[in-house]
Amino acid sequence: MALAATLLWWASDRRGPRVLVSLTRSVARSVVPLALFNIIGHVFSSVAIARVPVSFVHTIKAVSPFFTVLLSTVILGSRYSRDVYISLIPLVTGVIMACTSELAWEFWGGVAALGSALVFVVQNIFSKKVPRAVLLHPRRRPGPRAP
Amino acid sequence: MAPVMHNGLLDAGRLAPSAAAAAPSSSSSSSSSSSANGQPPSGGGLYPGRGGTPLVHVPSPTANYMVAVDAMRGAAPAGATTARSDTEGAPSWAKSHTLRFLVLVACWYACSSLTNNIGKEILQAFTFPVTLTVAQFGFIGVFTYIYGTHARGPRRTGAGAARPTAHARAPLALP
Repeated sequence: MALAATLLWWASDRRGPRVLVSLTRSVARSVVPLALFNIIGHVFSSVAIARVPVSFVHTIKAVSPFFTVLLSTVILGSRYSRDVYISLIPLVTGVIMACTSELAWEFWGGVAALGSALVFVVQNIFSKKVPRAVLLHPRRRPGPRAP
Repeated sequence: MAPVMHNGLLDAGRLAPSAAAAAPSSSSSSSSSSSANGQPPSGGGLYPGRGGTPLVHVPSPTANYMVAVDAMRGAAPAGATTARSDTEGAPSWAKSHTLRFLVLVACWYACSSLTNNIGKEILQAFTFPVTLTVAQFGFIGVFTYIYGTHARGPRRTGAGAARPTAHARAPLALP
């Protein structure tokens, strides 16, 4: 992890200050739901990891793209190309095969892993709806410059 | 610690449209075709190697992502005052957007794998997943706060020289 942190540090450009965003009402409106989704998803993930092997949790989380397509079709009314739907078939089939052959299956562990995947997908869909400019420092926002 | 990076990456990727839209460029360029629509020609700024590419046009998902990272960090809108390279100050191997992106992805996977396996080890001895989550988010908050307040770059010039007015980034450490 130290290696990863060092790599991250080196890969970053170190030009200027890290500008901190003040917590206004509009920032909170977009950040708080994202934070809640993240906490809930992480709790589910921890519960799942406590009950079933890590590899199995991540196998179940691999269906996230399926949920993403499903939920954004249902919630946002998005349309995807036929190729996208076709590519989901082997994904779902593979995960089902991996689940049925899983030896260390435990019901609530599986449910928690699935719930974690779902919550993170909902968070991603929600975050796409958030007006991103509110998370930028006032001087960095698009539009006319503040004096 | 990995989840925060995971979501940070995903969230940051969506900053791009606004960040790119905020990027009028005044640097000189080999091409003048982009000035037809009233936009000044660009070429320095965010994509140093791409002379004449209008900055409002984001050429690839990778560049898209790096624009988002720059915007998230509070980098000056490209070319607004000066035509600095956005990789100025970074090591030579990190000048490529694609390489930086791949390094970030590799770091993300490394941290994710480590966090999950260490979490499993802990949970086998200490069977309170919610408590573990709270502790993890506590660490994330502390480290993000330290990073946000202390990890400053060396240059403070131009429009970006104003000091940050508040340090309420801590809530952002949660997601």
